Amino acid sequence: MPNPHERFTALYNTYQARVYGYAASRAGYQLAEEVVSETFLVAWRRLDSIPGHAQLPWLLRVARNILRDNFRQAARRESLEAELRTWMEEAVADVGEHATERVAVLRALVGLSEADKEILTLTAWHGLSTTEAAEVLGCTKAVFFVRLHRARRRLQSAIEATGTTASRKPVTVPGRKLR
Amino acid sequence: MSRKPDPMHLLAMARPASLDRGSRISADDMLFMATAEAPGESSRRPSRPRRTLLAAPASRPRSRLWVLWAPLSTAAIVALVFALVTNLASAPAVLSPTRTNQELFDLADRIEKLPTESGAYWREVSLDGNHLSSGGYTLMVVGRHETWQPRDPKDLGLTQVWRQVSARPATAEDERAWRAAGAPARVKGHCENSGPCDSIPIADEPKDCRYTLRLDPTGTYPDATVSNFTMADLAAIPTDPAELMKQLRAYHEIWNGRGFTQPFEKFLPTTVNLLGMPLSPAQRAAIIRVLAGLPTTKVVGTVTDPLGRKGISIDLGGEGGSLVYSNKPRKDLPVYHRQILDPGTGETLSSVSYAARTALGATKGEVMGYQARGPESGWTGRPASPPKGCKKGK
Repeated sequence: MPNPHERFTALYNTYQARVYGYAASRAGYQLAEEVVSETFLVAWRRLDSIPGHAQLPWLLRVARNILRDNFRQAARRESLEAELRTWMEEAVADVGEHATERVAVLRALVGLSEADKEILTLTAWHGLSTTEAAEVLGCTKAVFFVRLHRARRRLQSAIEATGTTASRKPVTVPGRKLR
Repeated sequence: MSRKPDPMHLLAMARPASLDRGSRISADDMLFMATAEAPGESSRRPSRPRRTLLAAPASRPRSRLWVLWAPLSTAAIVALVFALVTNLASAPAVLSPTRTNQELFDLADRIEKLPTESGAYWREVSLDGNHLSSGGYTLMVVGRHETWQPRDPKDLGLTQVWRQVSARPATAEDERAWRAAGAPARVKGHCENSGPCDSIPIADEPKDCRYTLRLDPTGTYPDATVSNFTMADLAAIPTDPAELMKQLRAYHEIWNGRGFTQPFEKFLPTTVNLLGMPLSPAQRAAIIRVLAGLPTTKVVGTVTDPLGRKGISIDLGGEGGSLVYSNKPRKDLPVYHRQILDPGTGETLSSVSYAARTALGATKGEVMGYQARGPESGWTGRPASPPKGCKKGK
């Protein structure tokens, strides 16, 4: 059996990018690095209690707690909003397929609550199964489904409210000048 | 009839690719941080002893306070080394190492028999890089200076200084962000402290080279962080372990004569600075064995240095330091240091400072400053006179 250092290194190499992506989608890149290191410090201390079949949900749940406990909500929100603006600008600059739709959905995402953003991105961006996402949020699958359904409905409404799904007009991002 | 697009599908399409870029912290560094910060988990520590002696590697201390931007005299460097090493005062008892740092012993074995090179001059090309956050992206502000130290003190010594530092995006991603910001030709430096407040041009290389030629009949080597050397003194450093230790004790006495009070074992990490000086491979091997045997030394792993070269990263212990951004409270950033050695020659490639936490525009583990030896460093012939592309300085 690999020694703890090898296990930890393997765990880090396997999942650090996933934890980083999750943290960035919750609080922007500015805070993500610190969340990753804090998460894996916890992982090191509790290496023996990480469930082998659910390592990623366990890590994301730790990261979630760290985000909640270590960073003020306002700081997380500001950092993420800045990131969302950047992502929208990148989507605006992108001439690829569905660029307008991507801008619209990002703009809709900005207006949603933190909880909705999290539940939607856990499945759409981080590829977690229902079971895994429910584990991260610390709820049952049934509760997760209900929350996801409601969040999805609010996202749909927000997209429609932007009125840009079918249009090609440029999106103006608050606080940034588009080039 | 058109169907409404699935919002989850749209959201998945809008996923930023940059979410996959991952942390900049390597697994080795993460493991090191974890083992250093979980004292209750002694059973999980690496086989090498836990760092117990907080010796600051004295090598290239000029890079440690780069943000102050002030050129430091030898006396200031020595004082800084002293200040860093005084952090050792309350260190707990030193553990006796077993055969740890095998990579360093192996390095010493590899290089010991390499042929000794020579030349009329020892050229030292020094490139300093300093982290600068500007407008949502990170730049490295790079400065350069060179010394050409003659083997024969009857020859003129040459110093070249590039007076205009240059800034360039730190990573490809920073370059994209810089371009997205309109690719400004200049950026503003740190202005709240003693450093230059002028704007810095974005350029690949520092500019405005000035040179001075000087005759020094004493032939004193310019780096006095370990001791006062002539080229002959350096050439006479013993390779026999017992003789070397005796010589290092003599250097320690000179140190104490400068007003320091550290015991010998706390002075020893400073000798890493010798690995950037004109020593033979056998001498470097002997020094590396001394460093490898210190309980404070830890091989971090193979890394790529700021100039893109593969090297062996070592931690010589120590609390690191902090970069002072401003006179205002809470405007300093803790950093830790690594020495990166050439795996082929044992020479110093660079000394690098990393952010110890995410703050003030820096992310934990990010390179905050470095002092790298340019690849042109080493024994060479006489310099061109005047040096090409360089004006005479005062």
